Amino acid sequence: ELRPRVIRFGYGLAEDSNQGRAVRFFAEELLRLSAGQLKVRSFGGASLGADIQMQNALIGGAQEMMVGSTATLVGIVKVFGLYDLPFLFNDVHEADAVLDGPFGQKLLTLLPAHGLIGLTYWENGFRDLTNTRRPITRLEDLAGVKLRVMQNPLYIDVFDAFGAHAVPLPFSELFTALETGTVDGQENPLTTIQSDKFYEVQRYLSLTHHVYSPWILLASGPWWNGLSAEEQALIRQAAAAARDFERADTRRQAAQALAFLEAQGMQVNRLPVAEIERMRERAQPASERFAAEIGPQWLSELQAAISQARQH
Amino acid sequence: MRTKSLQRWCEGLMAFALAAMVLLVFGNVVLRYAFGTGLAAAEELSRLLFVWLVFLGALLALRENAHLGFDLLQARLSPAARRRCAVLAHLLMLYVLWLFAAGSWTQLRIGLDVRSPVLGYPLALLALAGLLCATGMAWLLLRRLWGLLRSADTTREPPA
Amino acid sequence: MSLALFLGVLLAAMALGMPVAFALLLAAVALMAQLDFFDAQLVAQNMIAGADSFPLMAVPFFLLAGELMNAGGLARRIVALAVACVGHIRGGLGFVTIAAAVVLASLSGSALADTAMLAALLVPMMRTHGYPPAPAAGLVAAGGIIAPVIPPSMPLIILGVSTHLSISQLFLAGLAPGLLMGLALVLCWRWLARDLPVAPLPRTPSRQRLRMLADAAWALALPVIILGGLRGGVFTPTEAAVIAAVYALAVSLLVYRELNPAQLYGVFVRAAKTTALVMFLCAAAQVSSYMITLAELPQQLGDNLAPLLASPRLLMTAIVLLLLAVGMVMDLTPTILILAPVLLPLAQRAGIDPVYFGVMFVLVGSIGLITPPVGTVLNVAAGVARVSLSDTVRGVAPFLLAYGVVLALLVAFPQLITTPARWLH
Ligand code: NA
Ligand code: NA
Repeated sequence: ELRPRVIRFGYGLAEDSNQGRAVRFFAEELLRLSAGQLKVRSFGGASLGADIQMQNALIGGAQEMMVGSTATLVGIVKVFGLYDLPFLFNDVHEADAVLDGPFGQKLLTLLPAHGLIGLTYWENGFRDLTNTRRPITRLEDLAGVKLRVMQNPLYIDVFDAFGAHAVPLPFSELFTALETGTVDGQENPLTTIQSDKFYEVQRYLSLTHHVYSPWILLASGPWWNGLSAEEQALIRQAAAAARDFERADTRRQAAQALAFLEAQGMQVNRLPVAEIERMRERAQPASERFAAEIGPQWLSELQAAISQARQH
Repeated sequence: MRTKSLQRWCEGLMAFALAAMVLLVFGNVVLRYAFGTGLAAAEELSRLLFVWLVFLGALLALRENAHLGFDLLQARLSPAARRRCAVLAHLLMLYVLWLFAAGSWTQLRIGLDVRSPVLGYPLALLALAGLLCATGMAWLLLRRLWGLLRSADTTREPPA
Repeated sequence: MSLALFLGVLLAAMALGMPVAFALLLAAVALMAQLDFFDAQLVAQNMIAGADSFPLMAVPFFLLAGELMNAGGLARRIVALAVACVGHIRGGLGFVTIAAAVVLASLSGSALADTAMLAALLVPMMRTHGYPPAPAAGLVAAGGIIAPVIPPSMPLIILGVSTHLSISQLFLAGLAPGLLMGLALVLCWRWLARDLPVAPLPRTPSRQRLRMLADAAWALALPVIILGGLRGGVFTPTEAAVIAAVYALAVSLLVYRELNPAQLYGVFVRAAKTTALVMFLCAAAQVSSYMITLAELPQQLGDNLAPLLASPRLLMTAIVLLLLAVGMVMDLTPTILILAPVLLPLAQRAGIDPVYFGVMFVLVGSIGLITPPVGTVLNVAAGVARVSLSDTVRGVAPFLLAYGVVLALLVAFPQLITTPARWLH
């Protein structure tokens, strides 16, 4: 049976971002499917708090839904850290196959024990590298580049292994740091490089695709358990539709962002496959140390899933 | 006597936390310019210390009646009316503190399971600061409320 | 409806004698109940998230720097230099006060700290030289509120964090209006000093002046480091604050050698205690701003003010008048935390430059610190200078008029703020 409900849905990016558009799509879809009974009230721009704050509110039942980075889940379920490994997926099709396939879904089943329901994976995107020093065409070009990285020890190790100076900075301080030369470069998905206007302060864009960042659509466990089976099914249905919408929209947006960034005068370069392979090798020791902490059996399961995706 | 030494301990912890924050944040600037690198843990640890500093200090400030407020209206009231206002204000503050404490307790239990990204400390450490602050404040206010109610029986002035 | 409920509970709780932080929490709880989203976790979680902020860490660092400058002899040397330079002019100690206020403003981020330093150092000096106490204390109070406008500034940091504006840009935009305030005080004092029955101080020989300049140079280098560092992107505002603290510490301990370990401990404790007061308020305001977001209060307010949105100057006039009225009874930090996030979206809808809005907000709010009946800077000036509150209010009145002219100019010509900000940026 269906009861009228208001679902507080929080997300971090602006309302006019790909994240905001997909949340609106989800809200409309759910309203339509439930004949007006399940109303989503969405709050963008982190107005319900940062990802970690929303995630804890979900666990405690103080907020119903959110979409955010899988990296925030690592503090609860370590295995999600595997998605942070560099050069995991070669393209979006591999990512889709692994995330929507048995491996990605198995990770979602680990969440209910911690008070969270993982519904679907959305796409933040492949991360690429920008800087003011020189185009990164090969590994050696990274030598001495002061690079802002996320506050995750893995990335500090990886970029230090590349010969760059990895500087962990909060995202909120990044634009100023780039503008004023506190750091030379940064790495983020193309859509972020466009939306946060990094092109105004960065000259070279190198399409390294070194990490694939997924987002995850989460629901509060205590709240979810109080829903009827029909309500749960409708939410899952809307979540799946929103996932397909979001991925298509994000990929279109990324392509447009690339054209936009070139038009803004950024000098764009792609890297030869052999160079990517050298970077992957150079990152290997740090990746292995990191994966060993999470559990070797999980890593081999993930690798099996990826090679299966590659055969198709 | 015992609360006096407790206060000294609090002050010592706060001064230590502030000094450690200075060292961590300044150290990171030095690392960046001298070695082109940074300590990922510096921000996380300094923020944890900051939260503890704030909530310990807020508790201490309540004890010293230092929190910002207005007594403009109260000053014009008769002692009896002022006492009634003070009792009501204490009850409302206790209610808010009850919510703060109960919510901190829930967040503390959640936080036992959630770890910080760099150092991996349980986020319960943050909620614990809130819980201590709320319960400590409630204890102070309850004692004051008790004093207010007792003084209502007599003609004495309420305690400041 | 929600707006009336929120403000009603807030004001009633404050009238009842509850501290502002608790009144904010209670108003937030009332909104939470009305919205049917009642959950104690939201109170606790937002309190903690409100204190858990890297940008706001600039608050304790700048407070520490201020305490160190006072205890370590930096402030005293600046005053001595100002006496040597302008003490011999007619009404000279007044100009000394203004000069010291502007220089200290570029070192410290807090109006209270600056006022206390000025009142302790200058009012006794003015008294011994025959200046009447009322204008002396009034001038000190008026000079003290330049501190939050000229960078570094704690209120600008808090405003930047609560409205997501760039703190560096706010800092650079605050310089010009801060200097304008100093100029207004100079003109006003020149007019007042015409008929003061005091003889000017003897002129300081230039050789001695140079010696004092060299002595104060260590203190004077700090604003250059802070502004230059922010402008050149050497560091972020939080890092600028920690560098200011470490620099002041080094100068106090190694150059001036006026600080012993016991004093140093006291300095850290005092800075930490003030930090806790300010930040507990910020934490409580995080709870209320969460509820304000859920209740969509800015939209409600915007609908009520829609006719004013057509003209930026009209809206800005209304905002200035509102803030002056609020500033009569409320302190600056809670005013920022409660009103800035609500008013900024409106200002932007009317096409007002957000950085201009932020600086104006802090400027008007600072003036509220010297308007009766509730003016914390007035209280500090009167208390430290040992002048009665009513004399201080009487003494500050002409300077309030001068600041009124400054406000009118800044509303009529926003370029006075935006143009120099563009040069600096
Ligand atoms: Na200042
Ligand atoms: Na006032």
